[in-house]
Amino acid sequence: MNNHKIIFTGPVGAGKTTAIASISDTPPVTTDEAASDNTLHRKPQTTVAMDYGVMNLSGGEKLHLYGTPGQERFNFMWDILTEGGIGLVLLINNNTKDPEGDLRFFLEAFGDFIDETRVVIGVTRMDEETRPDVADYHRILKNSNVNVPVFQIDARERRDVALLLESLLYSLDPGLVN
Amino acid sequence: MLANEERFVRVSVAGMNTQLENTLRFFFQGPCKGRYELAADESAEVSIIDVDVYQGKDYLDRCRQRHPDRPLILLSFNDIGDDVDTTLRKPLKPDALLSALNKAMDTPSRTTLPNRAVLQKETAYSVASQATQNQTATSRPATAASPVQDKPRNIAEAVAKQSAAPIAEEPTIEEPAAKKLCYSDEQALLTHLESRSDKRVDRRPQYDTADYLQGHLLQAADKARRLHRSIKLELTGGNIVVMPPAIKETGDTPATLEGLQRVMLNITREVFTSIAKDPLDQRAIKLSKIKNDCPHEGGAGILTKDIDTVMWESAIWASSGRLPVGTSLTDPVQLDRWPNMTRLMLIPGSIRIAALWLEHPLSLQATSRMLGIPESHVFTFFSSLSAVGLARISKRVSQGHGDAHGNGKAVVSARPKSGILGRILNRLRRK
Repeated sequence: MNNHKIIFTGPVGAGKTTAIASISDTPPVTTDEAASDNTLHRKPQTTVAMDYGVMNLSGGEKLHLYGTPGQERFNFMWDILTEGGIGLVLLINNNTKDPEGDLRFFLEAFGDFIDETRVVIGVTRMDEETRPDVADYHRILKNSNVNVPVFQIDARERRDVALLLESLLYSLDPGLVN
Repeated sequence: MLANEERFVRVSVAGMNTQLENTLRFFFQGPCKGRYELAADESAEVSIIDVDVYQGKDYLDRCRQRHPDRPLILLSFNDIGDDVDTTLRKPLKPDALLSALNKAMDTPSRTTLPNRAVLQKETAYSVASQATQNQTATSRPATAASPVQDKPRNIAEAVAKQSAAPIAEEPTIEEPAAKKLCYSDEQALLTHLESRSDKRVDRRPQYDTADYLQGHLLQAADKARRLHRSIKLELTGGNIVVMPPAIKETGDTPATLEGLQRVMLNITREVFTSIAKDPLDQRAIKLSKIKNDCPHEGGAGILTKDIDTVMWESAIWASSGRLPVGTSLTDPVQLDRWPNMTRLMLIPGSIRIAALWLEHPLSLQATSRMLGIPESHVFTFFSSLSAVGLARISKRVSQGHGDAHGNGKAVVSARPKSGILGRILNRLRRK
């Protein structure tokens, strides 16, 4: 029986835990703890270990959904975590000091994995902070010669997260049929 | 593939926090297919030690002292010059870790392999727990307080449990995603397209944007930008105000226009849809300049959207399965980038079409043929992309994947993981 995985990453407060919860078939197991120090002003709870959710597929297969800890700026085991993964969902919190910097950082940190698979980008909290807008993100990506889906999302909305994942799947295989 | 699925290697870790332990657990259970498992220090056959953490060298010395024959794998950012044990440089690469573990498996000192049931009874991770507790503030997450220590095991157990658990039966046939995911407007659009397709698409009809609300909106947006004044479109049943872009002034540099123009819709949804669908009587439209501090702003019943969203919707309704005048059916489509699809009205197949065009620019007809999507849907999607400046017809022919007419079947040939991708897609479309 094969088990497959999709990785959710992004800075603290980007909505990784919520996004996984919105599409997981089971309540996600998370290790959120009361935040302290510099993350406290962004999110009262923050993920210190890892989020995990699952989608049950036909034929008994599972799709595992792993969320990386938001506080981590660098982890020497990212390659271990992503090994065998189908693709990457990068969530960016638009209501932070430097969302463009976050975008560049995570694209660089997961560069090898993205080269092997695909990435899609969901921008959260755009209702709280409208700039940068989606076109701004595309301009940044274009400078890096990257042309991937960038969608405004509400991580609580299953439809938004599902569309983001659909775009990941079709990016991997435009000829995919259901 | 393992010769015996029940044979596995017990691995203890030291100098790692719970997150790193979990990462290894997932790696062992997933890509390694259960060939390795985390175990307590006393029962482990191999130990992985992060020597960069505070007391890392102490863990190493202690482990060597307690288990002199045990193979060790040391992790470090630095070259620690250890000529006895295997040292892996950070960042850790899967192949390197697997190679090191395989090498450890082949050591003669490891004689018997445990039964999996025995391991499942083991609960203590003595060295690892000790390491976690003793980590310095710089090497562990700031919030890693004691209550955290038990929770990651729940994640690992959840993974194991989920991997083994039976699942509910999958429904046999799924409706197209957009039909399930669509808003009521999108459903109305589908109905509209179906009702008009027989009459129009077969005659390859095209439409002139200038005759529709789409064209008037474009004209108003240009005017607002040029004059830097709000432009009001008086329509039967309401009005639409197109505002100029914001002016950005930074120090001594010349002022620039910044951001998307905003549009205030003082019109009901039904009236907007109705007006956007059909050619407008030019005499019934009044275009006028108004003050930028429009009194309507923020008023009751007024909806504010960005110009691209309004242009997109007006183009969809104006198109209704047709194309703007002069659009070639046989030259390839050039799509600049993905539209912000979660905030736009979508018709079935939009995501597939966008993904295809970004990878292989194909003609409109070839796209319909290749993806098996009705021409009316492809045309409508192109019309809306074109209205917001994201797509155009190009003379450049797709290279290496057949021609723009879609004669190269390799363009959308199945990839190795297509089976699993399709099953994920089906699951996503099931509520």
